[in-house]
Amino acid sequence: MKKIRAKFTKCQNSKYISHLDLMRLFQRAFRRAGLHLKHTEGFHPQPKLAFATALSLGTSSEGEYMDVEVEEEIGIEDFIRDINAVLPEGVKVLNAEYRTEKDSIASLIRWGSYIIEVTLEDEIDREELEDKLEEFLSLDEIIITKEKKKKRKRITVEENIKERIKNLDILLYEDKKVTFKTTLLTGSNGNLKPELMLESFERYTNIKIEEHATKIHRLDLFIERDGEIVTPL
Amino acid sequence: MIDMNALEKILPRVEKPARYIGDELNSIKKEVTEDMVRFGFGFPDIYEVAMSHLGMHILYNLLNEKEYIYCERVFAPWMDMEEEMRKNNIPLYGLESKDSISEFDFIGFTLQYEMSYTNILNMLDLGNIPVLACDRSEDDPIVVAGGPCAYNPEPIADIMDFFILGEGEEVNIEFIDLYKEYKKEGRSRKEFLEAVSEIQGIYVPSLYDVSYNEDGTIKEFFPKDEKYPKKIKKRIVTDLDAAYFPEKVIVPFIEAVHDRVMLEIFRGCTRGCRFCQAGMIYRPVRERSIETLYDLAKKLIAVTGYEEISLSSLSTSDYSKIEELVIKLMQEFKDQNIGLSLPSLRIDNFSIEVIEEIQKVRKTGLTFAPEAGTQRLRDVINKGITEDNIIHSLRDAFSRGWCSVKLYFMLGLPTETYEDIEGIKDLAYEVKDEFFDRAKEDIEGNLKVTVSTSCFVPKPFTPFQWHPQDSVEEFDKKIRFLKSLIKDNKIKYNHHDSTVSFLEAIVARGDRRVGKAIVRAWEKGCKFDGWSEMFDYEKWMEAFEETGVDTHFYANRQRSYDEVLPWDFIDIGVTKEYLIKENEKSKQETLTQDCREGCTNCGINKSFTGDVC
Repeated sequence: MKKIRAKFTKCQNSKYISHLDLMRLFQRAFRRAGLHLKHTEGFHPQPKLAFATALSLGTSSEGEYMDVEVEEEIGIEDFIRDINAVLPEGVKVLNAEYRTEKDSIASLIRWGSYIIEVTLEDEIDREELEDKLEEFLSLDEIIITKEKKKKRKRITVEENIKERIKNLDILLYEDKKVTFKTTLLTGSNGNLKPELMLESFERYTNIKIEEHATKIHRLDLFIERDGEIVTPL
Repeated sequence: MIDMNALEKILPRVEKPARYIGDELNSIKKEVTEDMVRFGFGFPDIYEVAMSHLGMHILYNLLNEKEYIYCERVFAPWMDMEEEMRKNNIPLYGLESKDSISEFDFIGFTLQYEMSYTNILNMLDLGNIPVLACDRSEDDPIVVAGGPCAYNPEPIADIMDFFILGEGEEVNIEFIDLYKEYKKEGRSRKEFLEAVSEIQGIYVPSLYDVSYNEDGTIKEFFPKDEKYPKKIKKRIVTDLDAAYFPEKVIVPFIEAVHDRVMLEIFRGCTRGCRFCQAGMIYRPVRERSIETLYDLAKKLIAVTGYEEISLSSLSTSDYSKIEELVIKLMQEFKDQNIGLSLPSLRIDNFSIEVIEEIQKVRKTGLTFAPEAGTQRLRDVINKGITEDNIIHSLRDAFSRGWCSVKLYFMLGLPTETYEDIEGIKDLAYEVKDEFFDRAKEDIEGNLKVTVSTSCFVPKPFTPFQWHPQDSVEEFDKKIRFLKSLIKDNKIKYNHHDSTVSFLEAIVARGDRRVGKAIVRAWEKGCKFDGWSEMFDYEKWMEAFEETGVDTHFYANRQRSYDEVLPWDFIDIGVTKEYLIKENEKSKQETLTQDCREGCTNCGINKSFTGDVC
């Protein structure tokens, strides 16, 4: 098995590409680069290419990961150079390694870190903002309600997301613009979207955030190894 | 440039924002200079449809090869985006530069279907360009249009500054070069339009006038001055193998309707089906050579990374060496997991073995277009396909494991009776019998027969251009009749909306007076009329009434041979005499041979190709 794990960016306009479109984009890029991917067997051969997690449309990232299996072994530096030569602007492979482990990258991811830029509707003191943030983080439980479909019936479920917020800090506050840095549970074993975290922050603190002015950027993804939180590469 | 911050804010709120950002692989960005001619290629539909249009890819790359031309794409934003753009004062912009289209020298629309005309008006309006040509000033872009529907330009004659008739590879460069010269010399818009009217293939409607008889028919169509050409002759590229074809094409970020390498293997069609406009207007037949196509396919796959190649043409299997081409492409690309598709294949004259080769893994459905249910009616329309052809091909296909069949028909063809409609049912049932009429152990899969009917729309430049269209009520009656006959869970029946076809018939054979109703319909909010969820029949009917347009006069009236038709001043090469002869032969139920088997004297070789085809 020649499995390469690669870290890549999804910035600028490529943040508007959906998960499925990104899959197509990479398949075509590999073909342009002349890198032959291994395909699944069966009636509909699919290239062996898998992403770590999905990213919301409109969220940019400098820490995405994928696993690909190549037909023929290629030097890692050549791999990075060849694929970057044919990728569109904003998508760029930063780093890659051969991996021998069977585990898929998607099953390993636990945390994601984000930079979130919001604009507040009303000006408040920095101190008040910090107090409210502290209050929010020291709540016993943070409840969100989700609409779910169960046997064709719509039901609302309540979920406590407290444990899914690892940290939430204010990096900058200036002229109603707040920049947060946060680490949230991410991946197929439990996930908290930054948008949902913001929503509950708004609700619990009564700090109103301007609609449609929020920018979210993912910094990196993390796995847990021997109790430690580390990046996948 | 438009306000990029405002754009950035609205993009996350709209469906598929990647429709509106440009910057795809192989898209072309240029630095704008003073003496550059800026051309907006307008496709009056959403991004996914527009990006599937081969003509756009050809002209986009062709124009951009000239360093003094900057061709950008301009598509119709979907409703959600339009709303946001209007609310935030963002004008319609070119996908490449993000400049408002009002800054361009030309906006060139391609007219692929009549139901997109309101979108053209809407796009101009979104770009702050007056929708009527007469309201445009020296500073406004020159608005032009080409494509198949331009062969009856009259319904949108008030909107366009000029039309381009025929194939655009040469003529587009010619008029842009002329414009460049005139712009440098500071000449007026009017002077340019007069000058451009002398180029073959260009029709400037403002230089012509129309008078009408008391019964509403056209009395005379005439140039306002003797110096303007009386007839407008279409343009063709004589040597297709030497003609321009792009060696790189844009790869969309999001999935387009046709998201693959499109190889145009030939133009024109020799079959002469009497309802078919494409079969007449695209004559003569010209092929690209296997060598050229093979070379293009390799280059295009290398620069796009696409996983599929489709062979594009009318009736693909009529390419003189189709099997050789298919086998050569399969051999080259099979190992790279690149598929081949032949979307316009007539199975009745094509080897099932080759199809099997193409579809080795996935046995998608087989599609046949008998168009009519009985041999009599198929002879009327000159569709040279027999029941035997179909059943024979199917027997072969069923034995190789296919089990899904689509059959396409038209309702309302000239001379049609209810017996012909019953024939549709009979054919579908015969297909079913053929499937089950085998030893049990030979039957593979679960049979699915899909019968689809569309409503016949008589089109200009066809032998049926004089025929009345069935009324909406008649169509609906026929649809109900056929529906009542098909009672089998293996056979599914789909039909088109008769009201859309009625509207199509009004516009397709309309004149300048119909244009007033198109503008009114748009003012009333009609757009995306080709999208069933957006089509508003009531509004259209109101628009016709308010502008005094008698819809039945255009759609349901029998015309006589000596009537002046709105498009008579256009010379497509195929003569009116030929169309009349074909119409008369249809009444006798007499077939006309495929013209590869011998010239049928349509006239194209007299005026365009110097006696050879």
